[in-house]
Amino acid sequence: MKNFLNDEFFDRLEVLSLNFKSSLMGIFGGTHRIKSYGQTVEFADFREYLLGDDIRKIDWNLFARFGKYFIKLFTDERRMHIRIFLDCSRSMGAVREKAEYAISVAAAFGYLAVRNMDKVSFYLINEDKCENPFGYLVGKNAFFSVIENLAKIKFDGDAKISDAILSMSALGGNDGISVIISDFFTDNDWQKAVNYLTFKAHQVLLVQTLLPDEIHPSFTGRSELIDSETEHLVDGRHLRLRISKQMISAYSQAMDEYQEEIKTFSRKLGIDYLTVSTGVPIEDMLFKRLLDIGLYRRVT
Amino acid sequence: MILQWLVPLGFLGLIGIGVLVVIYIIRPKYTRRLLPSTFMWIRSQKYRRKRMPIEPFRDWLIFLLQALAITACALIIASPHLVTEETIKESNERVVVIDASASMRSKLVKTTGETRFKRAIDQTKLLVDEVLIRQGGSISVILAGRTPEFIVDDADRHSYSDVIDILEQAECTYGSSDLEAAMLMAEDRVLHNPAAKVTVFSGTELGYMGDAVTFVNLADPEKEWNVGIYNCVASYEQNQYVFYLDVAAYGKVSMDTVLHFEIKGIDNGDGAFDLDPLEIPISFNVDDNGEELIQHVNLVVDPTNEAIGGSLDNVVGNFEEVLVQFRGLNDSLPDDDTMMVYGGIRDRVAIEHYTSDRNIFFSSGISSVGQRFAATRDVTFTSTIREEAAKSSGSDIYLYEHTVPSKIAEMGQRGLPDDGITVLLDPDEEAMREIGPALGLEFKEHKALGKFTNLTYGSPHMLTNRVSVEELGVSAYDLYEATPESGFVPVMYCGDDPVLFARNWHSSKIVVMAFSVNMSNLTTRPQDFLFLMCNMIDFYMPVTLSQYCFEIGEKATVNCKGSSLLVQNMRGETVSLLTEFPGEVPLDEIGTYTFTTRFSLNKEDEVRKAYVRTPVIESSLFRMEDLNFRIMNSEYVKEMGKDIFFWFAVSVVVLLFVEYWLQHRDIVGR
Repeated sequence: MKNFLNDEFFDRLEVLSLNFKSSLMGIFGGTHRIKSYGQTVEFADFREYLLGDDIRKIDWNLFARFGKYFIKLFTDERRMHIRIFLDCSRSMGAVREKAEYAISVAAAFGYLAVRNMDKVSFYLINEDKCENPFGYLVGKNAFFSVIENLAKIKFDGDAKISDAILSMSALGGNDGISVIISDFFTDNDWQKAVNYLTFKAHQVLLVQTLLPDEIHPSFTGRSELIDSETEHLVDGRHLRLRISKQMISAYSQAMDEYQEEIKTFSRKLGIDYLTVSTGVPIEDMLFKRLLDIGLYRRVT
Repeated sequence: MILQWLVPLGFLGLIGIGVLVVIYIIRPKYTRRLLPSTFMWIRSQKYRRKRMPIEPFRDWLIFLLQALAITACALIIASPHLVTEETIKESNERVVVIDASASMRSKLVKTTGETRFKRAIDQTKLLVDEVLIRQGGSISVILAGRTPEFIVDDADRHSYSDVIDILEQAECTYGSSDLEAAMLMAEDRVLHNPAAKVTVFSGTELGYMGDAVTFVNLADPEKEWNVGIYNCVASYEQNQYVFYLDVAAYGKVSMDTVLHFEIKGIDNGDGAFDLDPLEIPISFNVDDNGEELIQHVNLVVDPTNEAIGGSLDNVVGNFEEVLVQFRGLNDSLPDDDTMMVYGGIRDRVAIEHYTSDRNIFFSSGISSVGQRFAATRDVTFTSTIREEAAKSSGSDIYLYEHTVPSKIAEMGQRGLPDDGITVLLDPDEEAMREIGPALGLEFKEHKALGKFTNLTYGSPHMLTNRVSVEELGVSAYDLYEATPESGFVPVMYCGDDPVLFARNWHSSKIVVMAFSVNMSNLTTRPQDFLFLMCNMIDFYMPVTLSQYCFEIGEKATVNCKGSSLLVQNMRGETVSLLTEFPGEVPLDEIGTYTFTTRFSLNKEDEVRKAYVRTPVIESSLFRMEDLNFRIMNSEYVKEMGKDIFFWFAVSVVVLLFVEYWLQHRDIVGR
């Protein structure tokens, strides 16, 4: 984590702010403006007085001019809940570079959340369980207190994303963003989980983290490919292949098709999908890719 | 205990191990790569070129191939072959060797009277039934006589009746058999077909001959016995013949019998006569244990009272024949119960000497010649200086010294005796001028050398054998010139002049010595004269036979003092008529052979006889021989039928390489 989770990295994130969808409601006490009117000091609109309204909000000047009761409406700002689901399978941690990248992305989202006074929670998906070891973090102090532990996350076993998320008992609705960071290299039907999150009116972002070799394999020749998630040599996920140009081509074709599947799925649900390569500097991802999809905005 | 490999070629299956090692060495090496996930690689397979869907079964296929390879190796070791009709025939091939020696004529005297040979033929017929009809195989029969031959060669069921006919017509010989050659012929068949079995029928115990050979011993000591004449020799000792006999009994023989001994045609110079036959009693006894024995009884028959066996009433100087015979025996092998002895008539060599000067040198010299030939010839010598007493006929050799009887010269062109060999010793000029032209020998001059001059060898000639010609010398001689047509061969020279001539025509046998004994050193070298005379007799009057008893199958070496020799068997049939000598006469029948010498000279035919008997060894009915011969089936790979060993070996290699190919293929998702 020495590369990313440092003060310099977090300082650079100061210029970003999450751009939530206006349909979110959140909870009180936040900094995000929502569609509904609230108790802030910022004027929003007028409307005629209805029985039951607080008479203290009647604008007496308008009453003097029009003889009718109008009340002043003010904008409302809420606090959002950023849920970061991190795939902790061995496929994410087999190569340290990939694990560090994923954790850094998760930390970046977490920092952006707490910086905007939002609530953040890290959900670590391992096998069919989804754990939240750090609880709900509000404020930078709380965030920085767990940042070291975040760097020590263990990546092991498989990650059944849908089973894990669907098994969560308390998953609020319409209150923030759910970010799933994974390579999505699993036979488990992770789409169910996304469907569920969208059903819960979460704003969902899928971050597919891949190594450069996973996007464009650089090795050739006869190779016995061993899947890190299985310990037994005799396993269906082990391959013995002669990696040729044709084989690389077939791989790229499969990869393109898979990513297209995810994109199509995302478009259908109105969620965001982002593929990142660990070979690309994380700043590029944060300050360019995320801005491109509109999930963040620069603040001045 | 010795560990043996019945099919050592099965070890060729181990080649498969070599192939496996090679496959292991050249098999593709896969670099292990630990990937975070092979998820995408698995998905990528559907974009690869379509391949045979064998991946799910690859492990099973590899296992199956290895199992098949091991199975094929095992089958190779088991010598795979396809059984065809030809295979059945080959696997049931039988080679039968039937001993056809004289001992196989032995009869079962105490029961059926069948001979061993008959029993061998009967058992062979049963074998023919078994092999040809029941087993569908093939059979060959070797009749082991003196020269073994296939009387049935690789016959199958289609030739069954022919085989039976041939066996019924097969005959046993009277001679010995060459069983070793017969076994070589059988071995040759086994070499061509290692499955072939050999069955040997013989009465001679041959010992172990290998696992391919079944020996059937036809000897039956309980029902066979034999008494025979082992040998009978007439030995000329002290001017008379003494007879040595050896008779023998084979088997469990315990009996008293009589040997008939009869001499015919005794001629001691005073007329031929026969002696009364002797009946010599002989006893044979088994030992205390009753075991079979070979018992020999030796006898000597002569006129002395000390003779063992029989004493003759008279001396025997010459005899025509002797009959030795066991009469009334009912033994198993009667062929050796009778024997004839010949050779009792010795060649007569009558030498006539006529000289103008009496010379005792010749009489003493010829006496020595007579002693030298005493065993085979009767040499007589007469010498005269009276022309009217000189013989010109009735003798065998005429020695005319210095002169030639004028009564002969008056006979015209012939001039010399026409019934013998004429030796002209230093003939006088007058005589030679008279008879020389007819002989083709022209007198030139008399040469007196004045000094003693040694002789030298002329053309190589039997007359000079053992004669030290170069030690001989003359001081005077007559010079003759022989015409090319005369047939005279110069045998000795003095300087460049021939001094000893020899002619050997069937009708004219002449020796001319052109110098006088008195003018030479022959008198001081009597041994050379003796050799010269002996050579003359041997050259011009060779004995017809050197032995008078043969075993059947032998060849008699014959010579002839005449122009031809007629050989007849005991039935009077001509066996051969020889004109070149020495010659050989095959003796293929038991009995008396007659050898008649015919002369171109004016002489009567000379008849000699010899007896041909069964081989002595054949009389021994219960003998053993070790052929030191092994014919083994197990030494060879049993290549029965159509050999598909090669194809199994090929299949092993193919299977292993298919396995290699499977190992080589990419493994994708199970």
